[in-house]
Amino acid sequence: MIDDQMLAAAFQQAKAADRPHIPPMAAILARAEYTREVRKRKQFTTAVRMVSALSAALSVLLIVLAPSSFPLPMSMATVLLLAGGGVATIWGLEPARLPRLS
Amino acid sequence: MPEADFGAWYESTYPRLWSWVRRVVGDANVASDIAQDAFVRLLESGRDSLPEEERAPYLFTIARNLMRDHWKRGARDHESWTGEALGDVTAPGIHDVAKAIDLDRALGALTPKERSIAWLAYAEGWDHRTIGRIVGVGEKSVKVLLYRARKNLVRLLGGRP
Repeated sequence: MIDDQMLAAAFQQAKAADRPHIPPMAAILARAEYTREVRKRKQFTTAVRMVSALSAALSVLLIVLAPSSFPLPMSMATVLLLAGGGVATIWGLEPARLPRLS
Repeated sequence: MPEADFGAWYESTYPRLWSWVRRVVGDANVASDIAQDAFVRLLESGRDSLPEEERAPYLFTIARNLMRDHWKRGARDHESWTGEALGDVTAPGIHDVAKAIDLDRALGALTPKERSIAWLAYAEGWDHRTIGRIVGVGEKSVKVLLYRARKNLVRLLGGRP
């Protein structure tokens, strides 16, 4: 009859027999730092995109509803915000590959 | 948490996590990927400074979620796992290898949740409450699943239940 102690011993032996390759801790730390940076960029890009989209929508609305009173500075601000959104999008794009862990 | 302390904990915990994940998913390469991802996510979350008794269960919980994601992606039918060759695992002696193979085969006949709970109970020695938190089930369910897993393991390893 196999009891709990024998089972526990079998599991402990199996665990002790495992010899997995342990990746260097520096690689794990680097990858964590990298993903943190990617997330930060994504958050920033999302925020800039939202501001750009809102600004563009507001400008279009103003042009449609009151074309004669559409203020020039506002349209310039929209163009600037859209351009900023584009730059932020390119900057925030995630690189194609994560660092390899070996 | 100082890097040296984390390094020592990492060196001792990585093999424990890998062994558990490998027994649950049945694939050494997937186990390596999940174990690495779990550590990365632990560091990202900033919970690496948790007290030792909470940090390891938290890490194992991350790994459990990653295993669930792995199965959701349909990379492998986890219900049909029947065990694998020991692959990149090398054992110190032939008798230990034979025992490990027997245990792995027996574990392969259990459901993923049963072998997960059995490993956490017998290999890690964690209590029902901690196991329940990691696996995402209640304490009573852990007792039932562990009883079932134990009964099946005893039968499969050749002892009379």
